[in-house]
Amino acid sequence: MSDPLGADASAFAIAAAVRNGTHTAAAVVESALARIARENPAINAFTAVAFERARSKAVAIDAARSNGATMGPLAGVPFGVKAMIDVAGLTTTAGSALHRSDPPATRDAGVVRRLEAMGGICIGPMNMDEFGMGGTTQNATFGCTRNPHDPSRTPGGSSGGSAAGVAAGFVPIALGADGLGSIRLPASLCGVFGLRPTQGVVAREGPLGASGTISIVGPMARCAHDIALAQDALRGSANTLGRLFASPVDIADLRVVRASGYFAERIDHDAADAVERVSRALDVKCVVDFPEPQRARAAAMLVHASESAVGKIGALRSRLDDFDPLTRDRFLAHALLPAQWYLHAQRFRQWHAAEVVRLLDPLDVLLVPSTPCVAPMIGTATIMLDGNEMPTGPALGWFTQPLAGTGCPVLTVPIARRGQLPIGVQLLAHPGREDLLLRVARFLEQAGVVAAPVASRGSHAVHG
Amino acid sequence: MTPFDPYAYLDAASTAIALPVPPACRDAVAANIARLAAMAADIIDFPLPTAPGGASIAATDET
Repeated sequence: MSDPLGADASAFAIAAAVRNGTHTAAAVVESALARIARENPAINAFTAVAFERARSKAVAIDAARSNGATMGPLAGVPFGVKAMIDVAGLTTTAGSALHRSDPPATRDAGVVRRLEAMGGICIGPMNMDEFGMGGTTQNATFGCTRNPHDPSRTPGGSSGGSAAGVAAGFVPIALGADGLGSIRLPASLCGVFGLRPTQGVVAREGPLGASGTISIVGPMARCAHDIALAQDALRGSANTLGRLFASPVDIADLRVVRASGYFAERIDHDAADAVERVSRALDVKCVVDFPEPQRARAAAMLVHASESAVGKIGALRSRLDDFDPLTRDRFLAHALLPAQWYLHAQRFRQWHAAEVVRLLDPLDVLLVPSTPCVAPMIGTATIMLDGNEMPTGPALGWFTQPLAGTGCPVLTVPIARRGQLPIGVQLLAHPGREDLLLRVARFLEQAGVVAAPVASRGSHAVHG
Repeated sequence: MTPFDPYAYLDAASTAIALPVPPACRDAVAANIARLAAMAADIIDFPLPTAPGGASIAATDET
């Protein structure tokens, strides 16, 4: 078991140490705060740190333990949240200058309350593309977040601060939000696990700027067990998914297949090799045609675009210069879209989600690439994929976007690649079957195929 | 059918909802609208089947 005070400590190890009294929550939090103070300036994962709040929560947990209280499954576990999620006492910015001077939130978002009800300790907000509109976490107001595996590269986005903070070992768990891939994409580029839960299973109250019907809050972590603990907490269930990790996992009964066609094109050697390694480990013998991937991507993007502009027309009229130059033109365009495009996209999405469930009927888990390549250098405008030059943002989301509207849970797992830049693979299952994804993820961990070591800047870096 | 003109649409929609688009943003906003219009056309033109067939499953020649 890892040192509960170390950068590579899992949430499970920390909670066990706090429960059995090996370490105090106060010591765990001080260790995390010291790491963040020392290393965050180079990565820019956290945009603010709630020092006193975190210390106060830790003291309360230690006092409760001394008084014989039952400790939760996340006892003493520090976590961060995407900057669109309310943390009482801090301003919720959603990565925007529009909200930088807002008064502090007066209460925690539901997802923060749920993690803290299980013993977690919120450390603070983590950087993002403005209002989640982007895939690289370049932010004119809060600065660019850097990939801990190679600071000259992007962590992906829009939950790039959350992914980078977990990869750097600042916290074992962070919350992101996924509209078109904003958890799964940065998880792939930063080499961590990232779960987009089943649509609707996580409380929506609190996130600022979350897209109406397509965005969902989910956890990122460095091991499958911690994803299970965090997702249990987000759902308000103490140990449903966590129980899967009580003994070694066997997946002989699971039917796992790989997506072909669209998902085997516009992919470079690293991403193709990642899917191949997982396929071999799982003894995948079948491929399937995912229905209408291009149109599914288009529908998800139309829904996301239309919903992203809701509530912003007033600011677009009166404070246009306060929008990030990287998002301003998109929000103007999105505010002008006709309702018919949105309604057709939602109608298609409904049909498509049913088609995906039909596809999965005789199956358990579908393998899909997460990103078509490893993290590009920061500022890269376009990338080449299979001879096609594509803008970096849309290219990085090429494989996450078609799955976004399905309502299915999707987990990015990080491939073990010693000395190479990280890349992940997506696992998709029936709505409500996060347990299948976590069983497969755990099996792959046991087999040494997936792993999320804390980034050691320089040692993993491969400068291109 | 007349091809979609993103500039004409931009002008009409921005007037209709009183959302001015500064000249410096005009080309980029029109490009965004054009990109989304192409996606919308692809979806609107797609005949949603009433009884869709199942997806094909084929054995790979690998593993």
